[in-house]
Amino acid sequence: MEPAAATSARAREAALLGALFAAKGQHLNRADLARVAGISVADLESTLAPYLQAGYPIEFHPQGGIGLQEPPDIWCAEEILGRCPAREGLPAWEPLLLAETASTNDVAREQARKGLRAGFVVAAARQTRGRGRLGRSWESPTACGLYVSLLLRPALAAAEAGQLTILSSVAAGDAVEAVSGLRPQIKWPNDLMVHGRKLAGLLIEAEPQGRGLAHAVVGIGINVRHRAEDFSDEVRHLATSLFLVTGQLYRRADVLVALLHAFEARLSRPFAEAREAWAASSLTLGQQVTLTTVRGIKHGQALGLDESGALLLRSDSGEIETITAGDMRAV
Amino acid sequence: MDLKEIKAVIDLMTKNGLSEFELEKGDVKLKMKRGPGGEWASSASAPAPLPAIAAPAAPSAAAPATAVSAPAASTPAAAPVPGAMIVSPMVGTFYRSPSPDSASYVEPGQEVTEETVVCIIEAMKVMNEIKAETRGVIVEVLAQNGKPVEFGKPLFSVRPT
Repeated sequence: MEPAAATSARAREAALLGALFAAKGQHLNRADLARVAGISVADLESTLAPYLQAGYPIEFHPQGGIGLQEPPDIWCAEEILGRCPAREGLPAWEPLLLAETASTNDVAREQARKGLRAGFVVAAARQTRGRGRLGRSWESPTACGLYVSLLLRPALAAAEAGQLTILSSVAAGDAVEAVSGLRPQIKWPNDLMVHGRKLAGLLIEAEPQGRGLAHAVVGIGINVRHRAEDFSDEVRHLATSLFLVTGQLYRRADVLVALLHAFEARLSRPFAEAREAWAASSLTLGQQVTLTTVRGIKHGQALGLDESGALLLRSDSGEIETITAGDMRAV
Repeated sequence: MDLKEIKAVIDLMTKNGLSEFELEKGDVKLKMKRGPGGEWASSASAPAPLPAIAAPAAPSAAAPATAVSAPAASTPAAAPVPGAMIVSPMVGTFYRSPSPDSASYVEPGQEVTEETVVCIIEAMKVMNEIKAETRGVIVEVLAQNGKPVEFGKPLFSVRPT
């Protein structure tokens, strides 16, 4: 009884916020709003009061409607839920927003092993041990970037797990474009670059089981509000943020919502489309590149991707090799 | 490494139908290879896609009580396999630890369960945490840290417990 009631209260509040966000800047009729949330008109103000208190600029007109003005950079799970309602055939997003954690990927992996279903999303305002590939760190200063991990349980063979890299980097690019109008370029395999600097990075951790995948955790870091001084000396000349490129301070919640919408769209369409989108945004296809791989340093022309998403490299001797792991630099 | 240990490796290769074996341990580097033809040619032509565990010791058949009562037809023909292999489910790069500075997931002599993560295979920047998917003791690490592995390549030999 108790948990069911709490869940539906959350769902009602999410529906209210979703409707207000969808009509941001306008006033909604109270009766319509109450119907959307399944509550009485008399309960609208008290239901929304905590959100007003938290900083959402909700306006109650005595005789008229209710409206939401542009909110500051705050977020809550109800906002994300309300703006990303469950869709048929796709994972229903279950957001968990934390003030601080060591690594959102660690939280998601732990929940994955406990059997949580696909759609669990964990974001943190700050990571104390944000990770990249091979234990490299991902700088995660407070409230500057979107640091988020998505739990997926894709019906992919273990050998096809690389498709997640292509799909996720394209979805992250879609989200950045939806929010800011910028289309980042993708550096193989999955760094998002703007003007030669890194805007976002991905860390995907999967757990094969037999021939398939038990789960995959897609960790994404997008630099949203960083000023130059928010980056360390080591990465300042290599990194950028949406603010540094556009001069606009975007809300992290807006980036998260755009990201979840982008995953919904990409997951519901054939992989070949994501592969084509990837190739179209690729910084490196057709270019001469240097690859540091476990088989040594390789030079050649980046030709394209094979079906699994691996890079095809034509070496200087004309031989074509399939590269599944490594770091790439354009020459 | 003495002759006895090398013989044990040869036995392991024979029993699991391996054509190549490479081991680096301290300053010892051992590399063994069986060419095409010869008696192993037939085992090399076995179906290419290996299951995640190449040679699982059938646990029910191994328990004497079950073996006695089980009808003969249910006993697998290749039952007397002393060791199991954890093999790579994909092409990628083999890592024994989560980062270069951290300890290996497992060491020889360590007990593992089905759920124990034994290594990472990186493929297309997906870090795949490989679970033992079998119960036993790690006998040998059969792949080199930071080196590429092929689909079906044995990564660890495991003595079932």
